[in-house]
Amino acid sequence: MLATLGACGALGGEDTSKASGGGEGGLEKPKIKVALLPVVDLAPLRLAQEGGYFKAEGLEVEAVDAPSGQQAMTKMIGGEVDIAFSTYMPFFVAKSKGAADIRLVADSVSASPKSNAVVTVPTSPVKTINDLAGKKIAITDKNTASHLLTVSVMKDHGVDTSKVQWVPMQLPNIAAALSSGQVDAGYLPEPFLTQASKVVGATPVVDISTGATQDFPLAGFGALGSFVDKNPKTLAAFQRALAKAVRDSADRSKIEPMIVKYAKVDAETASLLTLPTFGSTLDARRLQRVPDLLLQTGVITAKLDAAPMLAPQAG
Amino acid sequence: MPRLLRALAGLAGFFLVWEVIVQAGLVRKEFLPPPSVVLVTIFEQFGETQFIRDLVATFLAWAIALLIAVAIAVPAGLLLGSIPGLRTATAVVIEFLRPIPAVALIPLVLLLIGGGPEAKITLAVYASLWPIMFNTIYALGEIDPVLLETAKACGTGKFRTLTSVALPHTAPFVFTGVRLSANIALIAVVSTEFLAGAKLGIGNFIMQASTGSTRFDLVLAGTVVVGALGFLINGGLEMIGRRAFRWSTVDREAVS
Repeated sequence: MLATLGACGALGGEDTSKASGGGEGGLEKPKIKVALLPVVDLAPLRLAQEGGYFKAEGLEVEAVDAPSGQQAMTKMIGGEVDIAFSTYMPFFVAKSKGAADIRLVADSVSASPKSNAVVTVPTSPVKTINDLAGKKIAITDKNTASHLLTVSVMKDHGVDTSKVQWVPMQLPNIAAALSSGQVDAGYLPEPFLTQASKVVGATPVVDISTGATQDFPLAGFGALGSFVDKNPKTLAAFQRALAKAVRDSADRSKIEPMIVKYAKVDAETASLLTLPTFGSTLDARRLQRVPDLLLQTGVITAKLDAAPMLAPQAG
Repeated sequence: MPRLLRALAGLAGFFLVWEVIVQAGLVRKEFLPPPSVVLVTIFEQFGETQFIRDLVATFLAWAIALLIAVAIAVPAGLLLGSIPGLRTATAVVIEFLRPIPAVALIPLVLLLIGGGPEAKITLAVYASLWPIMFNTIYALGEIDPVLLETAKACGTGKFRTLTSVALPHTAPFVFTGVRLSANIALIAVVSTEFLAGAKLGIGNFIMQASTGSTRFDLVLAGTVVVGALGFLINGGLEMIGRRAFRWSTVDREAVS
């Protein structure tokens, strides 16, 4: 009974009226579900959705919202969605622990200058990167991109990371925590970076896209090995549509409305923020930096090779 | 009606305190937008189809969950309440299951039945079963024994006694259970949407607004709307209860 109830469209269940048949354009699975987050990084995907880029490939992409990349991946492992968006760290950690046969199907974003930074406020004792040692630093969580990239940047500058108090916090709350002195510094990506500078006068202590983490691959799309093996044409269609959207995202006027609508950023901030580098095609050598950083920071204990995890990339 | 006015005056007072705190600069407007901003945001959101769809999805999930909970809990309560042996046999299991918060079962439910609307409905049913069931069980114990004896003397069967003597007499109690469960079900639905993410739902709206950006006015707009929904649901059920059980003197306080 629950299944039939769930099928009711108004509840947000599966739309059974368009049962997936043989599929247009010979796709193995013409309708896929993708777990997404409300982030700036996904603007090209939203553009592909709204602009009918997926449809042009005969593919229907249904968005399922998730609160975090970790949760998106859980939804994928649980079979609720076919593809999950996340920062790369959880994908590699899951693979390393043998939790799931994760394949990476498409790139999403890399760090661009001024799009991710460790910030401070004028009232904080932290003025330069050297002051970060032993301070309270807000991150989204331990072993996430925000944590490991901050560690990496601090190590680059020879700053001791051993006595830092990492304070896990949701990104929207970090500006308030900085201004109230709850934390001394915090890792912020866009749009929080622009908002925090506007609201509490936050200034970067160090840009993440420097040194060892310059152009660092931040986030992408993953799927399970079984899905990748069974649906090569569907995946290629997904990759092609996304690639076209990434090319079109050079036009800021196309991307900004997606950020306002889906990342729930106000229009003014959307027009000011620094976009990350959008990408879609994965490169094993470049991506190898992620498991290498995980190994170096001790999150994973054995060397992990990125190349075999890459799904075939549509040109 | 004066009751409603008094209730609304309290709410207006709450909004006023909130507005004053923010306007006085005790909290920054950007982090805690005042009601004057939030109410405008709510008004704007009611013009967005997405928001309406979220609201409808949450309401439907709630209504379905409550109906299923009633359909399970009332018969279960009648059975457990009238067969002492069965009640003893199940007591430990029930006392073991009851304190488990529905949200703690989210990972399990996601794994077993997926994360669609079924997940939030299942969890809301789980959370809202107990008050209805326990109110039914206790109400059975409160029935005037003379009534049951009379039914017995007239040769009424056990099942018949349960449905036509016990059930009407326990109805006001059962309804109080339903009213308590209505809010619990709403909490379970919204929390599941918030914690697990969903395709639609107010909880999902709040989650997106609270993780995606610093539009705290959207977060609070969603929160206030959930509060209003709970208020309307409770008010509606209270009204139904007062009408339906006008004859009941036993349970006046509990229902009104």
